[in-house]
Amino acid sequence: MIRAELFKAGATRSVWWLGAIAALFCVGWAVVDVALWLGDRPGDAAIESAYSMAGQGYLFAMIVGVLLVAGDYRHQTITWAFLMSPRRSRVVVAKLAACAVVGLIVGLAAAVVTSVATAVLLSTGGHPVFTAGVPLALLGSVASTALWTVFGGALGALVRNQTAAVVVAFVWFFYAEWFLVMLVPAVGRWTPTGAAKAVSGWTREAMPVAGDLLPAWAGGLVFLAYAAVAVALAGVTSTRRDVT
Amino acid sequence: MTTISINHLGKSFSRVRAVDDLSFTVPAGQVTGFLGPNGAGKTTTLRMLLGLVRPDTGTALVDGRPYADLPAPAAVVGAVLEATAFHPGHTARVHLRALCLAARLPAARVDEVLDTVDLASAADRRVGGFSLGMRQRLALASALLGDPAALVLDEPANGLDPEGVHWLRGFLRALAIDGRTVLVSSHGLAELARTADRIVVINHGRLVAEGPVAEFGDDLEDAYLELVRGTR
Repeated sequence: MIRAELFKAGATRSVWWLGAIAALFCVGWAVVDVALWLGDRPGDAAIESAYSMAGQGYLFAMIVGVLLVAGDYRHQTITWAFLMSPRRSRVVVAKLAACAVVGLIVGLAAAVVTSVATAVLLSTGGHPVFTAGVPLALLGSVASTALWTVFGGALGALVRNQTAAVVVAFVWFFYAEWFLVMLVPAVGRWTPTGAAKAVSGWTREAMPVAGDLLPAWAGGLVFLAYAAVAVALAGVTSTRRDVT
Repeated sequence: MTTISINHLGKSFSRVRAVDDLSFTVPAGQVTGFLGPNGAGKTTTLRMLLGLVRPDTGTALVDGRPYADLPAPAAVVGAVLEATAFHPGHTARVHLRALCLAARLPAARVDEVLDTVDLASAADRRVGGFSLGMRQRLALASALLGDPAALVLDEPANGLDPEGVHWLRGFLRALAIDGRTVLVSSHGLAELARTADRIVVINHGRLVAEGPVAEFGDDLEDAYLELVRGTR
């Protein structure tokens, strides 16, 4: 079942386009990070920050997840999936597992291209190319990208309408979450973005007024909890709803 | 020998009673035509039979079991529901191969069913560019992947050209002679009169008539219209 979902994902061009855009977006962030900010405060943390830009394609990764699951509802191909396997929760779990694999691939690709770009920029600037924290920053970026893809997939299964799912996600991440953090700065480290940024090794503030992030492991657990709730809700609603 | 039985099936959508205490059976080895006006509840009945819509009351069983409880459903029931239900960016082969993986069927079935529905030459083209008739053939190919004992077809002749309709008639007849169970909904009464052995007519979600096609007289269309008008 997971193989079926992965096979479909591999044959869907928009998935790979978005993945490529995500990776290039990360490279862009790394370039900006090195060019604009590294000079002000050189040191290990700044170098690790540049590498951690490999996790900055997270919104694209999330949309990949939305496409992989809500796309099936949009094209009504979900009917075929449920006909082949009437135990719907298994279909949903297989889809989200496929999201995790696709997210890992996108995250790894982003980590590779971002690392190459960052290393080149750092060495031309006469900075050290590697620090002990770099592998962890990259690992966190890849993990966060995969989790965001799963999160997007669960959102897609919940909302089912592809456009609505993307709109919901953008309203939340660009407006609602920011307002929330502006009103109650203390929650900034606990929101999905705050938690995910902690995983991805983001070393600056989560959002303008959010304060310190959680440690990476705690952020990982919090984000995992968000993803798990979304997956569980998606599993329950998919089992109950009529497919018409 | 697979029998489909619909027992006191009922379903409401908000305030509309789509299917109301509906019971009938579909025997093996025959083509059963499923008739009714638009909105009579045919599609809802078929979707409940396939486990896609949850009935409020009653049961829809295949060999005495709900579809969702069948261990290998693709090998028991093949279904054609909507001709448009494909990812437009996938080729016919990708679509069928993904279904094989999901249902754990051998990949060799893909080429076999493509040959059966005469679509092999278009196997590697994107479905987005397919005509309605080609989509119907691909849907039929999908339904046949598991070599099922029963076929449930919702308006399969929609969009087929006269040659395609003729081919479909022969194909459905051959399936029935082979001992399979065939349930086909259609608005094409003249066509169904030539294809079906049995007829089930519903209106407003309720059973109107059920029996061998011969019982409906010489002109199925006249008999159908009289029955439907009588249940308005």
